[in-house]
Amino acid sequence: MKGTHLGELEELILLVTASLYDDAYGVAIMDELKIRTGRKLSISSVHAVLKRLEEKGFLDSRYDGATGERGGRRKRLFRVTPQGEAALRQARDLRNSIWDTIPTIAFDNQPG
Amino acid sequence: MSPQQPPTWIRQLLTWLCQGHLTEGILGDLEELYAYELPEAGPLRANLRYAWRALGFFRCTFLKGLSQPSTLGLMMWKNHLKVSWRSLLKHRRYFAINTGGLTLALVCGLFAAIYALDELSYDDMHLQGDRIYRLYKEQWNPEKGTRFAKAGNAGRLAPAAVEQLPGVEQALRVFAKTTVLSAEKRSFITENVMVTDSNFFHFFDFPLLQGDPEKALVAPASIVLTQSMADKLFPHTEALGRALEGLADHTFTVTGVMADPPRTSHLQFTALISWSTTLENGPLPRPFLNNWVSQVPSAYLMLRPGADPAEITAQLKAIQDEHLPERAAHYFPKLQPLAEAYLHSQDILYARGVKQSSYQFMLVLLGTGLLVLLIAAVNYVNISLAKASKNLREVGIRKAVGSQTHDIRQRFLTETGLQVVLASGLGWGLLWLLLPEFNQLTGKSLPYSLLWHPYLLLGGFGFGLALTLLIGLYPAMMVGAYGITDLLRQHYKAVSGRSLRQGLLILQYTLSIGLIISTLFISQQTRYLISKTQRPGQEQLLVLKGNVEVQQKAQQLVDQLKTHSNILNVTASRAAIGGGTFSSRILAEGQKEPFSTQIFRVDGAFAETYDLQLQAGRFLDDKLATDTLSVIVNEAFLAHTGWETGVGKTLQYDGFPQIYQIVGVIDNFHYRSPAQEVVSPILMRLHPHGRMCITVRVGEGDLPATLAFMASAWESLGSRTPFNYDFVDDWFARKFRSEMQMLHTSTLFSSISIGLCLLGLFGLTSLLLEQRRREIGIRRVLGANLSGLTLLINRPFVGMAAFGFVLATPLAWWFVDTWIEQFAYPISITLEPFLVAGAAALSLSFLTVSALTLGTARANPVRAFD
Repeated sequence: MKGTHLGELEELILLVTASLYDDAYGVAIMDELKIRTGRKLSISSVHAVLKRLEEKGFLDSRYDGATGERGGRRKRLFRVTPQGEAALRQARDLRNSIWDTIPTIAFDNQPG
Repeated sequence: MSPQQPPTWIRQLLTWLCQGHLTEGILGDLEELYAYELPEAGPLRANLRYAWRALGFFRCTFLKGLSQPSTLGLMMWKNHLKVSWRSLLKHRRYFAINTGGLTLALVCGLFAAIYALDELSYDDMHLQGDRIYRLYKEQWNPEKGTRFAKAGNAGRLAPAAVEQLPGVEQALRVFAKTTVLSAEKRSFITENVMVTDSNFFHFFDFPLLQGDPEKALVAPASIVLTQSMADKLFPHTEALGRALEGLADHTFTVTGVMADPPRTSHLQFTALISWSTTLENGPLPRPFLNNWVSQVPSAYLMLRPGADPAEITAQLKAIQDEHLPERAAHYFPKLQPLAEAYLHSQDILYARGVKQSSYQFMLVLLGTGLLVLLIAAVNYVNISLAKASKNLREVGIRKAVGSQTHDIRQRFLTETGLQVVLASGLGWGLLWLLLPEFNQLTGKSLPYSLLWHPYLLLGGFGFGLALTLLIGLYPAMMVGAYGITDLLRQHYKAVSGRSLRQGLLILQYTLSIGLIISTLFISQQTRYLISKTQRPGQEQLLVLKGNVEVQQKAQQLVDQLKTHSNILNVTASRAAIGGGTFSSRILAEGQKEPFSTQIFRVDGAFAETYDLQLQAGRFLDDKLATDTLSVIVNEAFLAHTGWETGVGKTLQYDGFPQIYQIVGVIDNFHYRSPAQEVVSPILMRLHPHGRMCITVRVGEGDLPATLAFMASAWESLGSRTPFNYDFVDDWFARKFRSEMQMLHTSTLFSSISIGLCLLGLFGLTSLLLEQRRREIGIRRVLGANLSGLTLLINRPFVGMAAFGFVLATPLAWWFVDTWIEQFAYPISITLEPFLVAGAAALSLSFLTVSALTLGTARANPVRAFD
């Protein structure tokens, strides 16, 4: 059984996939990620992460939407599964709960 | 859909290697990015980026069969590797024999591969190359039924083709010449100075570095220099726009500097001269380049897309017949694709300024390379099979603790793979070291970069894999297939593979005996050809080659040279024996048809200097005023006319009124390479003009001093041509370059093959002796003598060698028979080389086996029972 831990890049890509909803495929995710975060990933890295997420059960995929510029090939479209959604929520909750414990004064770095 | 597509082979590779359900998504994404980038990045950069991205997908996650490496599988592989390495080290002797043999064979195979890669890469630098054809002609002799291919055509044919044939887009004529180029008091004898048409830079894609490609070769007396020639002539200044002295002492203007023609171009030149120079109204009119009769320049045609070369060939024939109807039955213009101009043109005679190579030699090299590899592979299989018994206990234990058959196979394939990888690495390294030697052997200059040619790397990988499976699979299956009890009891009989082993040994004997026989015949044929051109004392002959201005002072030079004590004879002539000839059409007395005859313009000392043998009559005499109308012919001339005797008969040049009388007949000496041509008719006459070759026979005295004397005599002429000389025997030696190349290579490869055979035999015998150690010990105790034991072990090998000999004989016969067919003077196939090769193989293998047997048999028998 693979671990269900969600790495940082995995989390970002999962989020982007969710936000693109019905048009989430390799190139679109790569572009969106670049726009949102400024991170330039290679297409193969994006595919590698998508495959890993699918193996963990956070994503599922189907083939649809062929276009001419793809040489008539269909897109492999991804959608976040309920487990994926749960993992994302869990990650956000985890962060929020830790944020909640940070005392305001901890970031008060003004020179005294 | 965009017209520009990314490289198909990358797509194919991904399709093969990636997991099926992922492929479509990956390829689609790649193609989308490609289509997106293409407009701004251009096809080259888009392709590169596509390839780079595709490379990213070659990782375990995406590839078939590797995506989920099982920990157990990985551990097993690690174990296999470790055990294989240990097992190899334990049996060091066989490890060394196997790896060494494979390495040696791989060096040969790799060399053959890069040689072929290089040969096949010629002339691929021209963008429109697939539409370019070389124009040559077939010349038929209807009476004799003979056919020759010749490079030369009428100078008017190619321009007429462009004018009249819609299928011909443009044409380019070339005429290469050796001449002296001089500038700023520097003079160089320059080969392959090429007169060519003004569209040269439109036709071919040779880059012009300086100058205007449209105009460089338009004006008369324009010359475009290659970079290296420009550096030689104008080392300190810019060459462009400068004047130099060239062809026939005329002054040319440098209108361009171009890159040297690449090594892989069949067309080789040092400078280009505008064709307009040679026209009737040009500074150097050359009618023989611009009429319908003379067949001198070569030409290339560029056809329009879709034009049918066969149709154009027929149309060219029609044009030619219209202007030269009297030669309609003889001349047939032909087209040859540019891609074949280098490797398939050895039968096209009198081509100048071109590099040619033998396709046949490439095939022979590839073939023998493969045979040598086959021999090494056989060694491996044989030794592995014989050694299998040593592994039986390991296999038994593995099986007892639960190994599956495929695990055992993997274990032994790993051992093979390890050796193949090692041998490939060593072979590569060795070839790297030996490349200069190989280059010398084959007369090539293959660059090191060929060792990294992608085809070679890819092919090498595939070949290594195939080799591993081929030579490893059978032994691996053999040991995997036996029952545990048999294996643990080390039941030797279980693993035999004896008939296979014997079959393979016979194959090995067949191949190496066949190679030796062929080499012996190649050597005989080559020596036979060389002996034909060797006349006693020829090494004492050297030729000083002059220019137009030298010929006028030839007599002065001859007289001056004669004064030296170490100079025995001097003669001035237009052509020297071995250095090229001139031909004319001669009408002999009583004949209707004139025929082509090689003309030697000589002086009275020619026969004596060259030591030519007179068969009848006398030689020409300078002092006899009547001898200006006397000629000498050779025996081939008589054979052609069918005359019994020649002396007293008359002849004339076709179309000229003068009648010449034959006063002497000389024997058929060879003045060209005897490889392709038999001696053809020649004619000699006294003629003071055009004597540019001064042949000198030197004595046994101090050669350097004599040369220095000749040089000073030459300088006193005040000629622009630098002092230069060639030895006549060097000229002939150069003509046998391709035959010598064949001889050297086949000698090397056949020695390697017999060496590998003996190496394998050595390994096999020592394994067999180990297994039969006890038997030999017992025989010794019971009183067997050494010679009896040696014969006992030798018997099966002798039988197999004899069988191999029987099989090799017809194969080698067939090869040699096909090979010698191409020569004008083939040797006859005698029995001797067959017997020599058979005896050599038999005695060498007998010696190897006997030496090993004696070693074992002479050991104290007690040791056999330790």
